[in-house]
Amino acid sequence: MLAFSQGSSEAFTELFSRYKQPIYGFFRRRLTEPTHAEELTQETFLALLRAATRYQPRALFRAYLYAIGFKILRAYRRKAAFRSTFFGHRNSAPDPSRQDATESALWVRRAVEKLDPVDREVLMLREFEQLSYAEIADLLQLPLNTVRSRLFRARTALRNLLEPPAESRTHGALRQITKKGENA
Amino acid sequence: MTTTEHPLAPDEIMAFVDGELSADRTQSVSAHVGQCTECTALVSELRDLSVQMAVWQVETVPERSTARVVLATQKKLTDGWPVLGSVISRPFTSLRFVLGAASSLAALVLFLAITTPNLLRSRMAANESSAVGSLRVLNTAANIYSGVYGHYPPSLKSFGPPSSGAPTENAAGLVDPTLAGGRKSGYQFTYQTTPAGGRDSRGGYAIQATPIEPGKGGYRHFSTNETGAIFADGAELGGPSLPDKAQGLGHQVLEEQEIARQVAETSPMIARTAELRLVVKRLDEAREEMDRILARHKGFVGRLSASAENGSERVLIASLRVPADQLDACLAALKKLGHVTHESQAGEEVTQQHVDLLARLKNSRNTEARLNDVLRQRGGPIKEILEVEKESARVRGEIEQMEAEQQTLEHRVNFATIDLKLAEEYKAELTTPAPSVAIQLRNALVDGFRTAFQSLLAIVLFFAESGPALSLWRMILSFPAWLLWRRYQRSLAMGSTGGV
Repeated sequence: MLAFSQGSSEAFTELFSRYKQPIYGFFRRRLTEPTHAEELTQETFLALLRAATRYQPRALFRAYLYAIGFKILRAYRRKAAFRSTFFGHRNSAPDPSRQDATESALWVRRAVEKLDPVDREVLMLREFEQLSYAEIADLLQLPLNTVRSRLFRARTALRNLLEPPAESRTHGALRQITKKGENA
Repeated sequence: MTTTEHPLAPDEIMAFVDGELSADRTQSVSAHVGQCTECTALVSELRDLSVQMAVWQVETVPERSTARVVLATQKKLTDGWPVLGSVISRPFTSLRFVLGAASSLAALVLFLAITTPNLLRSRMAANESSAVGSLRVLNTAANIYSGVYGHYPPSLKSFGPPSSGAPTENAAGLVDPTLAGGRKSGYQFTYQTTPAGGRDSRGGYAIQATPIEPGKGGYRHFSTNETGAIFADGAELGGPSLPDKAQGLGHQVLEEQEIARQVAETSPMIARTAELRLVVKRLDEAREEMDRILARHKGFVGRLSASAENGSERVLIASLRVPADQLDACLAALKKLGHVTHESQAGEEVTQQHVDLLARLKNSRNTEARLNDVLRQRGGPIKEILEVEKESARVRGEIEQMEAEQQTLEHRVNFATIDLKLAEEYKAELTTPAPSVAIQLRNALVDGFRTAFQSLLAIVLFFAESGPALSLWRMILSFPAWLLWRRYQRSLAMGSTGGV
């Protein structure tokens, strides 16, 4: 990034080729329409271009890029909610045929969908974007301990949602320890 | 399992799995997990969960979406930011900005909706009041005009002042030029005369006052006629009622005819006044010249004052009296003293006043003569004689008072008044002592406090006046606003789960 900010187009090409897929995945898992995910991916890199001269390497570049993406996503959601509220535009329902997902992936998606919004965001940033607790806390403006407790809560809830009832009788250490931890 | 048996919190084990613990803590947790079967199972489940989630993969980013970014990169590196900015920037799309602008606009519309009708109503009430006042003025002026010239004015312009010189039949100088022009304070005045006939040889007239912009400048239509009654949309306004007027009409007409007859025998008596403001180069020379002009036109100074303060021009204010027939010549001479900044002339018709005074004087003299006859005969007791003498003295006092009034009135007619103001061209002097810094600071502070207090008072007054209405609107609008806000929050929550 430093090389790009000093005018190297090769540096940006390298950054783009390295991060375009993770950023696209970030948006794709959070948006219904693949075209919207594409557009926001472009917006993220264009914003990166615009901010190149102001870039200061205070954190990992990956966290910096996700922070840009997260702001763009939040703005997009606000605009979509505004349009939906005042102009009656509905968010289109997910179309399974347009998502190249396996049955198990669809099962995971449905389970994640049922989580609390903040818990879900923490879990997805950890599992898919591989951000550290500190980076998640910085991104979501939450205390570090809150991130840890919310992540644990999200994983527990997701485990319960994914686990078939019969299986939960034989396994479920996460649930048992959670209950014991709560009792303690 | 108790805390003693299980010293680690589950989320700490999770942090251990995620590699988020410090090296020391990792070592101790690792040792515990190695011994605790439940914690080992937990670690295993957490890892399984990550594996399960990892099946959620997304498709590869389409190549077409990279084209725009590559293009923008090239433009950035070759042309600079403006081209890229035009691609990226989306002004005014922030929701906060839109909501803020919409709120401000709504508040402005609300404020205007509350205040504009009140302002319009106030302005219309003022215009209507002005129209009624103008009709009264025109009625009075029409009576004076008919007393002087024996008929009512032929047109509205005949009421107005002459362009120059003394009042004439075509420009009697009885009303201001705006009203004589037919338009005043949002109303249009139309004047019509009716031919003479029957008992009243002067004929009649009718004046209509119509709002120029109905609903904006005024609501009601007003009218009047030679009877003096004023009608609003056909109904008579306050003042003498129609029956009273009908009773008094015969007597009034007779009196007016008598006055008119007396007036017709005499020439109109006009007390003329003029106001003149001049800027002169040298005040002393101008004053000497003014004295010479007065001497030449047989006039005199009624009152004179001069002032010369530091930091301002010298000023001379004088009230001059000149024979009425010399007024125009005297004014022309005075105008040559310097640069004219203001000039106005007016003529007050005092003929009727003079005739009244003469009639009262004549009656009093007759009364005095009869009392003197009674005294000469001395036919009654002494007490009655004393009362007659007392009454004779009172009547004598009235006669003298009225004679003095007559002289004053005639003097006003014979001698016109010129209110003259001579101001010397201001020349700033370097030696003018400026106020000290402390005084200036003090004055600034006092002004500042006064301004602040007035601003505060204005705000309090605004809320006192508009607060109830604003509260009402807030109550009315708060519920739909809350509904919209709730719907927005729901949409936001739905949008955050849109892709998962």
